[in-house]
Amino acid sequence: MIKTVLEKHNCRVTHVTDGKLGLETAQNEKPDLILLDLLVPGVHGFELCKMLKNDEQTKNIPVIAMSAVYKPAFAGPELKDAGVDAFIEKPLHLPALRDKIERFFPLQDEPGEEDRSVKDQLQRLRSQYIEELPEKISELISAWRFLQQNFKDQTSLSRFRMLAHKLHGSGTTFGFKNVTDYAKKIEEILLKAMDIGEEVLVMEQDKIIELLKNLHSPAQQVGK
Amino acid sequence: MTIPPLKRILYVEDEKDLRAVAKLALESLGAFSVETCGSGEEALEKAPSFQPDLIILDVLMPGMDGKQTLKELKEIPTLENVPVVFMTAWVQPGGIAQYKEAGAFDVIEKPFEPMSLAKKINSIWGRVHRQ
Repeated sequence: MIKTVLEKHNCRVTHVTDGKLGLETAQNEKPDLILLDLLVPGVHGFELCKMLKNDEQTKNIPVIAMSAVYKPAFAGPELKDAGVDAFIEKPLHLPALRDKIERFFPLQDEPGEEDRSVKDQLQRLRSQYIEELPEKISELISAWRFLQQNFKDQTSLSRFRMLAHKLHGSGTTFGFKNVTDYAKKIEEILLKAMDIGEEVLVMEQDKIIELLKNLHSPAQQVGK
Repeated sequence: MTIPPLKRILYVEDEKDLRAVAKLALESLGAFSVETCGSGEEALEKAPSFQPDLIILDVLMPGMDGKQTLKELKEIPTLENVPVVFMTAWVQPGGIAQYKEAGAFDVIEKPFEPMSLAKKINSIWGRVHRQ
């Protein structure tokens, strides 16, 4: 949840679930801030914080400790001794977390009006793409049927490749990663066929048919 | 070194959906002025009068492909120093080096993420002027 919230503020967040890995990641990535659950598996949070504060590479990175168990009223000396820069109780109260983080650096606001307007317009373009997708996939399937009549026909092969290539290059941009993935696999086979010869198509035709079926299913779903 | 502002981009792509998305993303999030062309032939016609600061070229297009378009664009005296970025769905091992040998400054892999396209282009523009 924290990761999602911080990413909305344009923060790049690396999440690790183990103390030792936390130390290594901090040394490697040198983040601007560390949020540390005191009961992290592997190494106790106090120990981990001491290690971070004793390490030349990480000693200046602010550490905000989080815990549902320790309370500053009782664990104050231990928190201080570990070198914790700030503490926040769990369950987290997001505005309080934001306040603590902003003691060390300002968070960017969530995407503003302009970004939202672009996203709305992108959504409209995506809807157009969705509308046209079934037709594009039908065109690809027709090109395959045409190629199946003569695997040696380079013009048919080029046309089929071009259509697969276009879906490969556009699917993910419009939110259809599956379209990109299936079309890419088809294109891989076609490039191999262009390189080695039509026997690749003979050998791989079942796979192509399967991939076309897979492509056809999302197209049918979005076409409804 | 002061980097001149990137203002005008020519985007050449035969897929109309991608043209629309890239134009929207580059104009709205990068504040660039973007002219689009649906083919290499159209790019050769429009580029001299538009005089872009940077050209983004799809590689695999029907008719004149990206490499040929780049070659012919570079033969136009007012465009010979304009950096060209290839955009392609197929970067094979060693492909980037080949595209650079063909005259491209850099390569962007498709499918692209619309919300980060302007940032990517700005970063390439920075590198153009740091080299």
